[in-house]
Amino acid sequence: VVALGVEKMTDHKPEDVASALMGAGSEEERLSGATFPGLYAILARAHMKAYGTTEEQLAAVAVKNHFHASLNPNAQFRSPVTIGQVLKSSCVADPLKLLDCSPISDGAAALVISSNKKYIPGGKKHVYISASAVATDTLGLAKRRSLTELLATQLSAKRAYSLSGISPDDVDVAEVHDCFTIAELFAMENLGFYKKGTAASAVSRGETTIGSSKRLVINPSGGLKGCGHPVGATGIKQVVELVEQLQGRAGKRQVARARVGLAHNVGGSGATATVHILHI
Amino acid sequence: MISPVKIWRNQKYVKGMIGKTGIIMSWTLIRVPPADFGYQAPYPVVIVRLHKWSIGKINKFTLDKK
Repeated sequence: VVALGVEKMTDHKPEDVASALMGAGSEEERLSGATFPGLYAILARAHMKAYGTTEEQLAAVAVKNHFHASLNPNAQFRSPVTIGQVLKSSCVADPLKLLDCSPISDGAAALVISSNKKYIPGGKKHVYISASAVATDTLGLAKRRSLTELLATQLSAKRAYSLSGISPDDVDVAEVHDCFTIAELFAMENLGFYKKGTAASAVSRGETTIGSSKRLVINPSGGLKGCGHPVGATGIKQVVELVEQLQGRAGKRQVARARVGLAHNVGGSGATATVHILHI
Repeated sequence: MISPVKIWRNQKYVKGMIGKTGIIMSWTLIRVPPADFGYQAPYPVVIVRLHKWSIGKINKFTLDKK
């Protein structure tokens, strides 16, 4: 089976792209003039209020992912950024600034998947799919049970961990859906990597950064934020990154001793979530 | 420009949203709006707890320039 993701977004004006993407939002969100940066800004405000998360901590996610992207020859942005640059970038939807947001991207990615070992080229480590799971929540934010958690991510992760017999502590490398900096913190906490309210300080301490992480590296590709977010290709791109990491072919961004990888993709503002767990 | 047909179709929705009070649960200020909302930006969008949570745009507000 060939799984192919392709996206071309840069031929359109940003406001037209924003309107088109809101097709994945609820009707009342569209009528309210909400945008996806706006919806994630609402989630960010709720997280800041509940756990004291700061704008500097959000910026640290962008800094980390741009650093990772600087090591990735396929990344859209290969220049590191500083906390100050993120904080000084223009505001898109308070408190999210331009450098808190993933870009409009073009891109494509492909996977060849087979259950027949005779089709698998020799000389490379085989990467196996341990589990794939999907879950859904309400389309709009206003009908969610909480603004500080993503239920679809929690449910899909729980199913994937159950199917694979792998726990969050076993994961060495993860590609998560950081469409905005706050989204990476939500992913870290709802995938079970960190307790609620603790992900932001962990990112600031470098716990998920290549070179300083002792347990888990998150978004070594640069994520959606640094590597790019060609919407229709992002999910495949995440798995391609994991395959390269698990095969030890990721070059300067190689995560040491990577044996288990997790890919987490999100639809809309968390209405759907998929989790794939891979291992060698 | 929002289609008059869309405005007409949403009258029931709008009617159900006005004249209520509630608590703002979270909010943002949209500074980069989607198409059709450009002339209104910046504007706040809030999640309000009424009898159930609801999302909406505030039409009258004061923006602190600081």
